[in-house]
Amino acid sequence: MNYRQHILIIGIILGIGIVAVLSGILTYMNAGEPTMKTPAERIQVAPPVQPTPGKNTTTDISLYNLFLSTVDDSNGKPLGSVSVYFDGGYSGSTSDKGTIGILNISRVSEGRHTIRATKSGYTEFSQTLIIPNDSPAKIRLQAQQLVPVQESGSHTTKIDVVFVPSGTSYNCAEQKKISTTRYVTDRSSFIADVNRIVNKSLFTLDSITDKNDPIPADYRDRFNIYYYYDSSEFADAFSGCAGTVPEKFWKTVPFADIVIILYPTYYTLDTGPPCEPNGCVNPGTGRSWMKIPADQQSLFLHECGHAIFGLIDTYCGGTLYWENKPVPNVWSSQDSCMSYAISNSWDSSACRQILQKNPAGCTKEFWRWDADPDIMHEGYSGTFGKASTMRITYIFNNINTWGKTT
Amino acid sequence: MKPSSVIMIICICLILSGIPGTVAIDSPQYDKSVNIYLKIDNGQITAKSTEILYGTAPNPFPTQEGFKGELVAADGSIVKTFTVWDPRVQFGDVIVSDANIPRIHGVVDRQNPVDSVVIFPFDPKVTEFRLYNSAEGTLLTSVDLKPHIDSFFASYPNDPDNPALYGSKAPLTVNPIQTMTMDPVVKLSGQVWGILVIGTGAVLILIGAFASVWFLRMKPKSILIVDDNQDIIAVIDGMLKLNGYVTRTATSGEECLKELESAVPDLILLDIGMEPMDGWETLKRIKKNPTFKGIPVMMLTALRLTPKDVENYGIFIEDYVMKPVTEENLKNAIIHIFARREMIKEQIAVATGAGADRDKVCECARLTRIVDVNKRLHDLLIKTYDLEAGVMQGAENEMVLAIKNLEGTFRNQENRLEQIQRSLGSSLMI
Repeated sequence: MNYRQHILIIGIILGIGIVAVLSGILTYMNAGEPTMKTPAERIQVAPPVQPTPGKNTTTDISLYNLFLSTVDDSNGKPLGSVSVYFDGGYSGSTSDKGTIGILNISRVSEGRHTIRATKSGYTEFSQTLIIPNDSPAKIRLQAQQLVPVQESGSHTTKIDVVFVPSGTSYNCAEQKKISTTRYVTDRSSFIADVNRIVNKSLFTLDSITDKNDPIPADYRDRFNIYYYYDSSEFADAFSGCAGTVPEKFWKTVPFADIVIILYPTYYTLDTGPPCEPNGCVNPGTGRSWMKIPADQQSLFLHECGHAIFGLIDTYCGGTLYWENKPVPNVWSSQDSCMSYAISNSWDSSACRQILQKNPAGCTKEFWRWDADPDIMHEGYSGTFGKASTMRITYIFNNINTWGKTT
Repeated sequence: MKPSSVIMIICICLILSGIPGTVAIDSPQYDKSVNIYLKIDNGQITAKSTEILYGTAPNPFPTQEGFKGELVAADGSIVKTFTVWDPRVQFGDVIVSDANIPRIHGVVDRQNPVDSVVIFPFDPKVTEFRLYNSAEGTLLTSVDLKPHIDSFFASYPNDPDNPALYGSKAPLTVNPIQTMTMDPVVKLSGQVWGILVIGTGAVLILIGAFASVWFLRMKPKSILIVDDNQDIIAVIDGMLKLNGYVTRTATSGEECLKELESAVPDLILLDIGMEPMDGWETLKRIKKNPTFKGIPVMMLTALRLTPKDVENYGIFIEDYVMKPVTEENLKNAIIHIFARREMIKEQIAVATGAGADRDKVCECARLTRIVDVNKRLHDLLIKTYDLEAGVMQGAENEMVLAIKNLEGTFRNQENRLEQIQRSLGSSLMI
């Protein structure tokens, strides 16, 4: 045997050894993972049925293997790590290595069953399957239109804010709703406006709230912020006061605490007859939304004061007033305002009635304490005073009240 | 690669294979929300439909005007109350410009009729939803959630929030809640098979590694063939290659010396009858060069060996082989040279390791080689001149005398070798 033959034989031995070790590791790691080679494989085993009173448990029940494959609906590519729930119970996730996107659920009884599949970034999928006819089943998951801007924690512990683009705006001079293509044709423009309004307005709360009794330093981390962009369907900021959001949105994003319909700009200021509101709020229990123009940063904070923090307008006009207990910025009597001020060691003489001096004629039986320029008074400028700041802090510290009993 | 490195790699592979084959499994999400769809028309509130859906309910808006929601358990106890915004009311702000001075004024938009949704998290304890007028406390509508809960869990019986599971502590359907997607037996057999394959691979790698080490140590010797006859070179070259040797060739003494400059062979097969520089001259030059003097040289020639040659050059050569040579003889001669060198090398290593005197060890090694070479040359002389040992003793010719003289020298060297070996004693034991 010559030199070359020696090298060849040693090379072959080493090569086979390395291949064997690697394939052995893969075999070990993927042990038991299903493949799609045996669809609808029927197995006849004794059913593991729990004895049920009144039922003949000796009946022979056929059990099957249910093979599932999960794919991205947009391109048909296999999708791994999809959580699968069989009849509501978690059955595992589809494989994310080897043969990607496969899950075998064994010992499935004949008949109708429900499959639910979830994956972050995809719309939840739920469907009824008839076994064994529907096995193997292919689940097509649709990419969600929801894009996180900042995710700080679970939906139950954070304020979930979702921005939605509007396909409409309003021309006050002509007194009519107009279509606007800015967000419809330019997604990046919408994203830029979302980022700007978050960073220049929402995340500057600490600079326009009370410095002596500040809001939580980590207030930014108490928000989850998303934007939702569905190029086939846009919100309408001028359908009603607060606008409307596509019904599909609510199904996709059920957890949203506040939905902000963003429209590019409001055309011309109202100089004559009353126009449509620039900003408007519908603070529902379940579906809560508001609209706002992207170019009005102070007004954005004013509307957030309503929609997120439950603050009341302090200007005098045709708006809603009530004493927003337990941490109000508006009181229904001077006495309650003063006693609240005293309890907080504030100057009680700062309590003043909500009224309009110029032109005079507007008076409300409600009192306010925050000094001017109060953003809940001005709308287009100002800061949040002590009372408003205290209310904002209260909301930040009581995000999830579902968990609390009465 | 050292065997220890190979063993370490195999150990790492085995340790890795011991880590259970885990699949990234995210934590199950069973959050559900109850969605109650209301229609409000002229103060009449009707629950149009109710849905229980997977997903997280929004956090409630803290304390607001409108209605009061109440979540009631089966025993009538109140699990939770919360405020529900009056969905007929939306309020907004208009920025107006009075003489170019901006001013805000409010707008309240009241709608009737209106559709609305109340959403709250699913709680297995809650079986009824009630909606009250906040101001008067009158009941506006109520929804019995039990049928909706039953309907939902009919589709999702294995959901751990299923009240039926809650009560019986056992699944109601034939499909048990599965925490594993893989058949444990299949998984185990797969893992065992995987370990077997890994083990087999590891053994093969080990064998390959040891074979590599062995092979590196036993790497083929290189031999330089020096002969002015191309035909002879071709024959010798073929023989050597057939026996696993790497060969180079030179057709003259000068070319041989040039070849040595480019690479040092393990052995030189040197012809004698070459022009202009013959083999002996070439040998002398090789042995004069400190770089090349350690290269063993075997004379391969058609010229008969003479006692004079042995006297002059015996100390420089390893063997003397007469042409024509058979493959067998050539192979044996070469193997003998390499084996002798190996044996001497091991002797030196052992004796040095045992702390023997270095000079003595070196002399012993040198004499061991010389005595062995002498013996082979002596045998060749006897054979060449057809002088059997017995006949030789009575012969009177010059050749016999010369050989006898050589034998005297050989004997002296053998005696010296024995003397040194005795003095080194057990140090030479391999």
